[in-house]
Amino acid sequence: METTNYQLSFFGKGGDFFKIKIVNIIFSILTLGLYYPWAKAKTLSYLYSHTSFEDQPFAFTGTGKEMFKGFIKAFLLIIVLYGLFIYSAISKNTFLFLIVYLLFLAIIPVAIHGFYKYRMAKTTWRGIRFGYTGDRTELFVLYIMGLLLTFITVGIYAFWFHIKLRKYIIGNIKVGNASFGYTGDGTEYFLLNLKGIALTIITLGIYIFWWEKDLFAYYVNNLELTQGDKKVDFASKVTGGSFALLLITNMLIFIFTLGIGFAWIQVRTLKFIANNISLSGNYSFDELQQAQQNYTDATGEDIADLLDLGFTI
Amino acid sequence: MNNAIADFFNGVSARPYKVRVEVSIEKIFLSDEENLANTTLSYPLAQCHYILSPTNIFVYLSEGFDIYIAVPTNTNLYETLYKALKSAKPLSWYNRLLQQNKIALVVLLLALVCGIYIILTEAIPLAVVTFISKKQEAALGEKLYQSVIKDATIDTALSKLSNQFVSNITLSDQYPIEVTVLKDDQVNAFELPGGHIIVYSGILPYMHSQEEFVALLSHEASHINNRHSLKSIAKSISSSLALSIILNDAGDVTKGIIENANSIYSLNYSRSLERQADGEGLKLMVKNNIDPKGMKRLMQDLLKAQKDLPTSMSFLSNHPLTKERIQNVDDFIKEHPKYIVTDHPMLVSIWDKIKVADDAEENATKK
Repeated sequence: METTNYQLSFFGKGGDFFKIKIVNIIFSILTLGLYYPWAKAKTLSYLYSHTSFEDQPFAFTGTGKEMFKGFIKAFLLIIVLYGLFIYSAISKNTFLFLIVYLLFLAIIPVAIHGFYKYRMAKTTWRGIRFGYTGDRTELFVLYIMGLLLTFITVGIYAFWFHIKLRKYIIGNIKVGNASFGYTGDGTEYFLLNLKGIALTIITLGIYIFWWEKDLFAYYVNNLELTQGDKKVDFASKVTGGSFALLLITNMLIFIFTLGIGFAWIQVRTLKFIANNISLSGNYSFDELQQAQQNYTDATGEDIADLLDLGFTI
Repeated sequence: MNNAIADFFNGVSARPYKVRVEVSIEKIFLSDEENLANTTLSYPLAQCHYILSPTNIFVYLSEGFDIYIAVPTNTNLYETLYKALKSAKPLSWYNRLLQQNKIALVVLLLALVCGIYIILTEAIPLAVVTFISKKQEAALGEKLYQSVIKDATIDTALSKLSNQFVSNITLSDQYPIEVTVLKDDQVNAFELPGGHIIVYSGILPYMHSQEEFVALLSHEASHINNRHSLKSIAKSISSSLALSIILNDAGDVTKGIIENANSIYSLNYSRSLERQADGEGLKLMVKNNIDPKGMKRLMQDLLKAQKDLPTSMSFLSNHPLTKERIQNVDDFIKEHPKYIVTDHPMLVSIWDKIKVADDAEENATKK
């Protein structure tokens, strides 16, 4: 069967991105942080619209207004939880402390669900919406069971848990009528990390770049996109050396520009990632059809920000 | 009229349709090139968004970003289209603002940022502190006190003597001052909100008269009287809040609050608060008819200690400007030439007992 290679690229410019960031920072200061949802919308829409697949850009269609509504809800929720948390800590109320702690844990899968639901609905390519079709209760059960097993196995199950979560979430991401999938395996992932830890210790830390490269590859290589019997495979081209070079130069830029170079760092990192993922398969993207619902509640997205969860599952 | 063939995406399928694009001052016109439907669509330029890539200009024709055209940059139309889009877009309010006097704008902006920073780090914490009642302050101080003594050994004998010493002078009209001496080699003393003064036994050998001890206690008592620790806590919380806002990191805000709640007693006072405590401390000494020169001798003795034990000093080490502080004491004495010094036989006798007990303990630990 005929195989096509698809092109992914990031064509943003450090200077342009810096302008957006600096305006965001100034407005955030002037509004005591309330500008944050709009700042986020601007940042994401720049990054998405300057990433292209097969010469067509992605678009982030979420708005500051939507995320502001979510932000207010998320903020109230977090404030109440933190209030209870501090109260229970000061008053040494162990029972309440435990309850609040569990609530914090329980909020995470709910936030993950909301995050993907909103973020995917607001991502489009060639005018076709992405979507997340996962079920909140299913994810909640999966998450809590995973935490419990991780706890019981003193952390060892975390690797299998991580892959399970990834499989569930990515397996529920769609673009139009095509579906993403993840084919990783917990045991492989565990062994990969075991090898990473061992070699990093032996090489006094130097191996960490190769370990990170392996993790990136394990993520990318196991991704797939299918529609009917047609399929697109993802492959990582990252090498440990190039990864090390990227991270070290990023660090140097950060230090020598006293942090001002952050915009350039982010841009060159995205370029690096886009250039190092190769896609090939027998699917013709012309056949992709609009199929996913729109969804405008950004609360999950905002909870994720407030708790600093930063998901790349 | 200038026109070009472009790809049109209709938001239903990802398949590109060939369209012919034309531009007027206000509108974009699309006509079907594939003979599927014989229609011309038009879209007002003002509602379009565009993105430039190295190969195309992408023009989104609706708010939902689902229908758009991709016009290659190497066509004749590109320049015209780009210019038309640029001029049709109503300037946002801040872009209009940016067209005003640049220098005035920068100055205004800086003033605003400084103003907000000052409000956040100075005004708000001070306002918050005035809302905290003495009772709440005492409760907080008590909690902190419990956590300080939890992992420390109290020297009961020296604490008792020190409190007898304090009962013979007036350090505060508002707070019950209570001294706790901890067995610890550090040359340090600090205070907690509401009246607790913690003195590490390591500082005692470096003081050579009851006046120096009074000076130390008055300095700490002045921190208490002026609620310096509360102010510093409030300031450090709101500074980190301000920083999080500047760095645009919402997650850090909440994290910052928690971290601050945990690190209350690792506070360092600002220079101005230390200066104030020195000044008020000197006034307290004068009020108790004790020679304010004791403050100077205390600083000089502790400076010596700093040279002996460079690592374990905190009373002075946070303040590299000890010379300036000594100078301030000299100035104070010059400005208040009429202070009265009386004999304090009780203080002397208790101080002697403290020294004897401290020496005895030190010898005991050496053996």
